[in-house]
Amino acid sequence: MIKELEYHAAHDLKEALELAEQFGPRKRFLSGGTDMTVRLKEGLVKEDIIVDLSHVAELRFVREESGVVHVGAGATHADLSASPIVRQHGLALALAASRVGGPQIRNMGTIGGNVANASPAGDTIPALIVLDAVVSITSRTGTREVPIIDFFTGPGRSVLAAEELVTEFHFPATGPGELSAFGKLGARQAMTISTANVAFYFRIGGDRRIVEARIAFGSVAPTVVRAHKTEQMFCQLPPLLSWDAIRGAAQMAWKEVAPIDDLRATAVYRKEAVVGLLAEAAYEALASCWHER
Amino acid sequence: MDDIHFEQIARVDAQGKACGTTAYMSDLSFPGMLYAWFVRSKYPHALVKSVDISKAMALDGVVTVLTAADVTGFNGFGIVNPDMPVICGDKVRYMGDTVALVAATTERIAEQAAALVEVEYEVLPVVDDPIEALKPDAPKVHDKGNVCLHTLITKGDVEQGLREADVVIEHEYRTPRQAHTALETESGVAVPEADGSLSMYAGSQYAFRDQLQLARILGMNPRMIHVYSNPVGGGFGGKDELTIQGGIALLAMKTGKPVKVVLSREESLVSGWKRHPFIVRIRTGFKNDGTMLANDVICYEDKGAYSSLGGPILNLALEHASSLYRVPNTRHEGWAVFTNNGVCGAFRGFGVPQVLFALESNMDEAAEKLGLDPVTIRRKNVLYQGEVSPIGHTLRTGVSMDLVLDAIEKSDLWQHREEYKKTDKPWLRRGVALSLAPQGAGLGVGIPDYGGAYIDLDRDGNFTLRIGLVEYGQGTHTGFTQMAAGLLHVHPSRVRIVAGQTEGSVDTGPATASRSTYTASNAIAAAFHDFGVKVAGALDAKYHTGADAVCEAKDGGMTTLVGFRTYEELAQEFAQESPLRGEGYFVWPTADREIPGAAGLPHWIYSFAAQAALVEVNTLTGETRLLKVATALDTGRTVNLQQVEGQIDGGVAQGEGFALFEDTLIAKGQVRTKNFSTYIIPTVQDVPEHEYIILENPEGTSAFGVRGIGEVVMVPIIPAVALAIHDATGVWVRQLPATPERLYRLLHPGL
Ligand SMILES: Cc1cc2nc3c(=O)[nH]c(=O)nc-3n(C[C@H](O)[C@H](O)[C@H](O)COP(=O)(O)OP(=O)(O)OC[C@H]3O[C@@H](n4cnc5c(N)ncnc54)[C@H](O)[C@@H]3O)c2cc1C
Repeated sequence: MIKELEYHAAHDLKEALELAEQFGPRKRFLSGGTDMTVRLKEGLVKEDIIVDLSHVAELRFVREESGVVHVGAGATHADLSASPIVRQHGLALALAASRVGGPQIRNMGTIGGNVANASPAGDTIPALIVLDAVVSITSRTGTREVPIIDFFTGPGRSVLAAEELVTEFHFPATGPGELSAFGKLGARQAMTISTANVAFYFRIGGDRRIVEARIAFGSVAPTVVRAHKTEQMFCQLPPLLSWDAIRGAAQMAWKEVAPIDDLRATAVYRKEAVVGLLAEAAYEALASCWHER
Repeated sequence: MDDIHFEQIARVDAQGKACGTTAYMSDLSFPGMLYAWFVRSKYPHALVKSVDISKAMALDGVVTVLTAADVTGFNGFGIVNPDMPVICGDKVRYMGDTVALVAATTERIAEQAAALVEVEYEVLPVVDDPIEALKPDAPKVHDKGNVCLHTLITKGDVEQGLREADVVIEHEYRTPRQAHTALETESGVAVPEADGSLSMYAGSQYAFRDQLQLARILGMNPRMIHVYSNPVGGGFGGKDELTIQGGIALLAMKTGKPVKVVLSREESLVSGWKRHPFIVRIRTGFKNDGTMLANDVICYEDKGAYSSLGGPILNLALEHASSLYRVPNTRHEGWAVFTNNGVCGAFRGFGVPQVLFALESNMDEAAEKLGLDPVTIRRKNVLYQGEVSPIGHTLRTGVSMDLVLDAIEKSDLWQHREEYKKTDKPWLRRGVALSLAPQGAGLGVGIPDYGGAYIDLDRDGNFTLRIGLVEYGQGTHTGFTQMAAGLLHVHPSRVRIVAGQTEGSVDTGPATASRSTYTASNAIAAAFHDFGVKVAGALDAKYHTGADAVCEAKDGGMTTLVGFRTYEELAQEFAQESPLRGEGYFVWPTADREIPGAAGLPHWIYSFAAQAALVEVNTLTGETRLLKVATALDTGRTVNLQQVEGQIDGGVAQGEGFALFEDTLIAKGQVRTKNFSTYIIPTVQDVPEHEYIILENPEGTSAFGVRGIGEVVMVPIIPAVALAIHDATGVWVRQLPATPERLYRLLHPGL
């Protein structure tokens, strides 16, 4: 049973910020509502006031400006999966968004909600991390910029203050010689929470070697995690497509995750599975990249 | 009646369902309607010491709260043995048990009131393992003990057969607690009528049995209870037994107001019927050439808390434990055991998927050990009409084991399996396997298996077919329409159906056991015959043509001794006061004697299908994808090809769910998988491509030669998927579902 709530719809950003300030910790934002409705039904929302952001048109955009991709917090997963800008300049994010839920969830759910929700299983989060995204957090008094990796403080927790809202994410547009991708393991092909997920970004040098790597794993620690040691291993890879070498490099991921047992999977299996997920996605991405060149 | 033409129409119910205009029983509302809430148990096993409803009653908007003492008739229901209380008075046996019922003016108030009902429990130890539950010192779920049914069927000398075998394959297999997951949860409205009768609007699979069970619960004359159960938003066996009807009936009679309930998905998954998980221990002996010599099977059926159809399901499983293979020595033993693990009941396949997963797996393992291929070993053992079954009865009706096996061998998937198995990804492995199954249709020996139908010529010259069998998505009403229209020589659009109601339709038996289309074929044919007799009688009364003058249907009317009459003309003449009605009744042929000690066995008519599956296993994660399935199915005669293919698609998806995804996890009596994010069913992204091979080997006892196909289409796919995983990876999967982690652990035994 969903409790009775006070409801306010914000019509523009200014109104949203005013409502945020007015109600502070007594309110909760609602964007697509795909997380909120589930939480409300389960009685997990302690706030009694809802501020609906879904009518705030200023939050729903994707654009590229001087080498930087800007994504509004209100952009839906469907927007991101279909966006030529995101596909070209931040493929990992488009792939991650396209694996969220099913079509209905992607039509409603937003990237802002996915990140603000701060679930360790949120699919867009590892993609944003490897793309080196920055979160713009706005209140009536101004905007602050927080690197996405510093945004999360624990499962379901973030640096977001009560009067603040997430307005956008921005990251350097990837270009030639840069590739990014996303892989997901769930209980089935769609409509599934990630048992584990992975995103990576590789910059390929002229000698076909990986000169810079960023790798992040989801659902295997209290927050999404960067895997620095594994990144090092990928930078050592020989410049030829070797399954054994890629798998060997991915093996290091074992050391960088701290999963738990839950209904979906055990910790030990998750550790093994993320290695596989990374190896598989990296092999596919490198194969197509090297093939093209 | 092979000459009857079946017009290949689109589903008669397609438009309403696609547009959302079809009114299911759960969509209905009545003036002054109240909402019910079922107060469920807090513990999986406990004595109920006291129930205090005073606080709940005091809440504004609460109209009544009922406890066990308020049950006006017999406080129990169950198709075979009414051992499930409508409201528990002294003991609860699973988390879905009802301890009180609330009716209030809104759903919200009803829920709030439910939380105010104070129940004092004395907690008892949880019985959660069927094998442990059989031990003499195990806590008892029911006073009479934990054995719901024990059955033993033997033929020949199984120990001798196993000694003589060159190879004996011996394993234990386990199967999941599958949920029906009908889109429409258990729901309905009970409406007290001015004349003291009760109308029950609740989607279910057998209105006429619901009527009797409700009469017993209410202590009322069954004639005073009118059940409307059609259309149903999905059944799969989960609405064969009563669900919420008893509770809302009591509330409606007590309050004098219509009372509605629609269970949430969570409540449905906790309280609703499930497929019985089986533990199957099986030893199968083969000669070097693949001939089966002996099969020794013992099944432990996790019955859950109450009987429902657990006994008949166990017995049907035992009937099929050696499939229809030529096995001279068999020992099929089964225990249906009460536990506190929810409740289990009828589910598409009715015990057969559980045992055939075990047997067909042993078959392939024997084939591998003996260097035979999967088709050869099966072909060597399949039975033909006239032979004796593994449980000792003679197979009198058509047996198509060889035909479906031949057809699946010729399928594109099987013929080109080596090409299909190719993949260039180093971490992927593909495999192909096949399996085949018979599925006994109908209710079996000793249970009257009956079907009636009326064909009414209405005032306007169109027809109403009155029949008991409900449409719960199978597409049967389209087939019934085609059959009636084909016999009458009218376009199907001129036949409408009234079904599944104790008032206005006739008892045609339950829409279960792959029996709807077959039963209807004979009941409709009999009704059509009687319709001709009635027309002749009417003509005779008016024109003195002679009462037995034959009337023949032709071109939208009938040729008679007084010339051709269109149905409009006949209606003008004879159907203005009341419809001109043809009545048809049919009783299933059954075996002349029962297998000793096995109620209901054997079955007389079987369905047959063979399926091949192509799977792709990701060795890095243990994920399995079912890529392609071929189905060879004997329909007897296809009434509507689209509906047959629809049954195959749905059956394969449900079988795939059983094999790869679905399981209601219960820990210490508590359901852990209460919604669709944890109870995993395949989505459209998970279901395979299909190759359909339809055989038409007429079943001689049907007026049109049709066979039931609803269940068998989900059976062979289950072992086929498990065996395809073996073909891909070399590991044998003996517990389903083969979830990614379970398979990963098989692939990496040290983990
Ligand atoms: C069936 C189903 C399947 C799903 N599958 C997936 C999946 O595969 N992968 C996945 O990652 N997630 C999945 N989800 C979860 C959910 O859909 C996503 O997290 C989605 O992105 C949430 O976005 P939303 O706009 O709907 O958020 P909402 O539900 O509206 O809000 C979520 C949270 O974010 C806060 N919030 C929203 N917008 C802002 C903002 N601009 N500033 C500050 N706080 C804000 C809200 O207050 C709330 O706490 C699924 C959910 C469902 C119901």
